[in-house]
Amino acid sequence: MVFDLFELPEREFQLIGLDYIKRVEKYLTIDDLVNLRKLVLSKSWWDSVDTLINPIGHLVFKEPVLKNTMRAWRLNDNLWLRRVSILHQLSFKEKTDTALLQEVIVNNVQDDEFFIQKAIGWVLRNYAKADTS
Amino acid sequence: MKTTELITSRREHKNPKKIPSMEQYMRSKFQFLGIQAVQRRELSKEFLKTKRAETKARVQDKAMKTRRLIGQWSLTFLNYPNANFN
Repeated sequence: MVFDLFELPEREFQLIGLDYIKRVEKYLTIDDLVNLRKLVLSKSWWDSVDTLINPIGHLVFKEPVLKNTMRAWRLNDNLWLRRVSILHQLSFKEKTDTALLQEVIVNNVQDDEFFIQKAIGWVLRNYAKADTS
Repeated sequence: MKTTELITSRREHKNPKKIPSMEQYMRSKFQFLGIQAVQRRELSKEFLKTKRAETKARVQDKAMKTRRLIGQWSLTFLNYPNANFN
């Protein structure tokens, strides 16, 4: 259903598809990551990709084995997959895996792509709010 | 409501006045119908509710265990193409 909506030319349909993903976030299972990845890569722009960050983060939190996938994406040629790997822990607060966060940042900090730099700033600013030490 | 019905009814709500500003915000990367977020959510509320219930029923199925196994297997593919294996 979501993929059908992604085929349509008008952006609103993609956003409705993503509204659906947000709504079923807690039902996502490990095998959904393949499809979430396809959505990150199709008609990618910040409005769609950023909506997928929390569902993906939620899934990684539930299935820590997926941290390896996030680790793999940090080196991907596609900037949106890198953005997801940087931002997937955005709402983890004190539960952030700081070693993983450090790893994804170290590998992307030299990248002067706007959406990567913004992502690093964003995730660090958010984490700083949780870690007051 | 089916996805096709959703599509037809959304297109009926096209709002040409809003289109230029929405397209400009996304740097003309996408076409828009001119339906802004609040209205979009209002219009698709029932549709999403039904879809959510369908999904809930599906995941509570016993097939979940199998899905989990398939998922773990799919990671081999997901982690492979990009990772640096040292």
